[in-house]
Amino acid sequence: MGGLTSSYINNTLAALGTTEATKDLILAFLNNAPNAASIAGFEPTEGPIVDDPLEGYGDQIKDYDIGHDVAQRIINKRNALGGFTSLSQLSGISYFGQDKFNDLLYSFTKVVYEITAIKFNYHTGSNTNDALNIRKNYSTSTPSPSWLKGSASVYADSPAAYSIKETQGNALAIRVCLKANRISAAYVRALGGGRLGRVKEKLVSFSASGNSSYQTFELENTTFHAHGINAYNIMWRWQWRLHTSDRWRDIVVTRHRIFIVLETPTLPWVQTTGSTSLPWTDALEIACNWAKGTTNKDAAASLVTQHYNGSGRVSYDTIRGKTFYGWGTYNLSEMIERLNGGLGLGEKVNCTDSANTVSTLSNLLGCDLWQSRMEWSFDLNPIIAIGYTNWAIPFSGSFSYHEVAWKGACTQNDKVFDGCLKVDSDADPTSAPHTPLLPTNMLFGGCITMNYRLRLCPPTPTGCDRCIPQPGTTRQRRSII
Amino acid sequence: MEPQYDIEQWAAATTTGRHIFNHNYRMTGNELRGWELVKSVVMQDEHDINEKVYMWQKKASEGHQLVRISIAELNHWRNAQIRLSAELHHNMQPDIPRGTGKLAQIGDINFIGKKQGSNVVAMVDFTRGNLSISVSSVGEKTVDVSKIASTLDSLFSQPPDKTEIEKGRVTVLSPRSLQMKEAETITLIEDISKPVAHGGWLKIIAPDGELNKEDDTLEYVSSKPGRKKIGKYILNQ
Repeated sequence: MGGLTSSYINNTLAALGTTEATKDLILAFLNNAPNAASIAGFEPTEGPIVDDPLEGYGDQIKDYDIGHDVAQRIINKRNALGGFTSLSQLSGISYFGQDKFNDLLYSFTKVVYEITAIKFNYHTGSNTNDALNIRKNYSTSTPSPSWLKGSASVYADSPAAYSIKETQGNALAIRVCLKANRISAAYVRALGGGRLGRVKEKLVSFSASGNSSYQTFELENTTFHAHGINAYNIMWRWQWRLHTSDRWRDIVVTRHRIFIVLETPTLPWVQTTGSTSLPWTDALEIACNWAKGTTNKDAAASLVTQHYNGSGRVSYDTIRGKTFYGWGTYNLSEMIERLNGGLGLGEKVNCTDSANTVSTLSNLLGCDLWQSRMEWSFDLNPIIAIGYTNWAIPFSGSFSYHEVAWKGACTQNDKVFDGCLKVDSDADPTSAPHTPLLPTNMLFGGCITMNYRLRLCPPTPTGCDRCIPQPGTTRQRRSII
Repeated sequence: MEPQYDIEQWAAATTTGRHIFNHNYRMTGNELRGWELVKSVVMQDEHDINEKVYMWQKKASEGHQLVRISIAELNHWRNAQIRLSAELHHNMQPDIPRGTGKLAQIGDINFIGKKQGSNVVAMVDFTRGNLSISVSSVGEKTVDVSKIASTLDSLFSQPPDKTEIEKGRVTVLSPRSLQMKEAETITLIEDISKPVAHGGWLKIIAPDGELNKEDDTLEYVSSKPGRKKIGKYILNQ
């Protein structure tokens, strides 16, 4: 079969009153198809070219839509021409006959053909029914809207973050902008979505020009609340139909990166629109993976502490215990680069760097930690410094100061998370043998009962007695760059 | 006991740095022979302090030998020393030693750190004039940074080579000398941002007295009367 003539094609288009918009849609579809499969579709799923039920044999068996071989011939002709500029150029394609041409016209004459944009965070003043305000990192904001046709190709291109506490029990929704051709209203939904849930079916109205403007869609079957902190790649398969009795037809598949935290991040993170301290997705990638599956704050901070200490990317500065990632402001950007395998500001860290990292990444997940110090010049028990495996007492036996991630008022009655060093967990930390223990959610304590303080320092006037919490002058949450 | 850094004693011992002022310096990659500048990072950029960190890698060391150089510019040599004191308070080692012998000549005030059980100088923190500088070995393999610190100190405290001026790489600002009364204050540069508008590095070296940046104005207070030769150089970077 030699295919259609160009005069048949032109006469058919004229007879049907096919609009320029429809022709443009078909041309764009054929010219942008990366391969034959994207025209032929994947059987048994119908589409993207669907059979016109009013034309052909009408039995849905003999009059199937465009198959792979014909699609490949269309691609071949397109490539030979350097792209189609007119539908009459579909002439002379073997086995591309009247029925298939009708199917092509039918598929694009009345169609919801585009998801233009998706907003997860449509209410920047709250996050009870939608996503948190976020940015990519200190210097780069995230795309707004989160998903934009033509801009998002991989999951990470379309990020969103949700707080478990603030959204618990609430109906979540997104806002979506769509385009249609010669349709005034259609039902739209999206399947998939993983633990974020499906997009509930909704009747969407379109203007004469085919735009829907932003439409609020509810999510259904949302289950992330039960699974704690996480980072998910989700896909939505968007579909439409004209009438409730019609079969659903595919529009597009969109991909998104969804971060789940326990609560709205605390300082230094803020929710102020435009701030460079909005939660960074670069930091969420690390923190959510480290604390994956955790449903409470203490466990989350403990996992952050453990993963940081065991990251293998940083090690203690045994020369002077110097702060390298910033003590005025904390250079989280460089620490992220370091933790991700890059240079950062080098491998050396001290307690301030460690307290900054543990508290800042924990607070991103909704924890409520501080950086705070114990001072001054106190003797030490043997410890294992971050990045090392041996027990040692640094600097001839003492620290000038030590800084940790600390809860509450940062007093001796509050608990600490120390990513910088391991202490001895046995009954006598002053002497061997030693059993390593990374202090997570450990009471700071006094100089009588065995808690963090007595595990770090010997029970002497120059040890424990001098290791005094200093929240009044040192409790803080450093700003980040 | 809180580490005691006697800033007043530091000030009393500071002579040269009182009348040296560097503004808008940045490392470009040619400063250290045998080393490669891997990255520069702005740590703080505020009105009264600008700190940049430069990461250098020893050529052919495959990243095992790394040096971190932090240069903080302040408005006055005293503030540079206050900054150094704060820096030292963020070191966990008590009793950080001063450099001795040749090392003592680096900067106005300096403190060092040695690799345990060796004489390898792995850290030098010092001030020179209004700059607070920190040079640290931060790679897997510890390297001696004393020469690097010494090179930097010379860069900030010595006038440029005559050949550099002759080749046009350095512009000397006028007037080159001033008649001053004792304790007289004059404005050397009205708006310090103008001479470095195209990215140059401004270096001022006076024979005595003190240099001070007040907002955008660079002032000079002479300590003795007489004709003062004041070097004001704009160095291309």
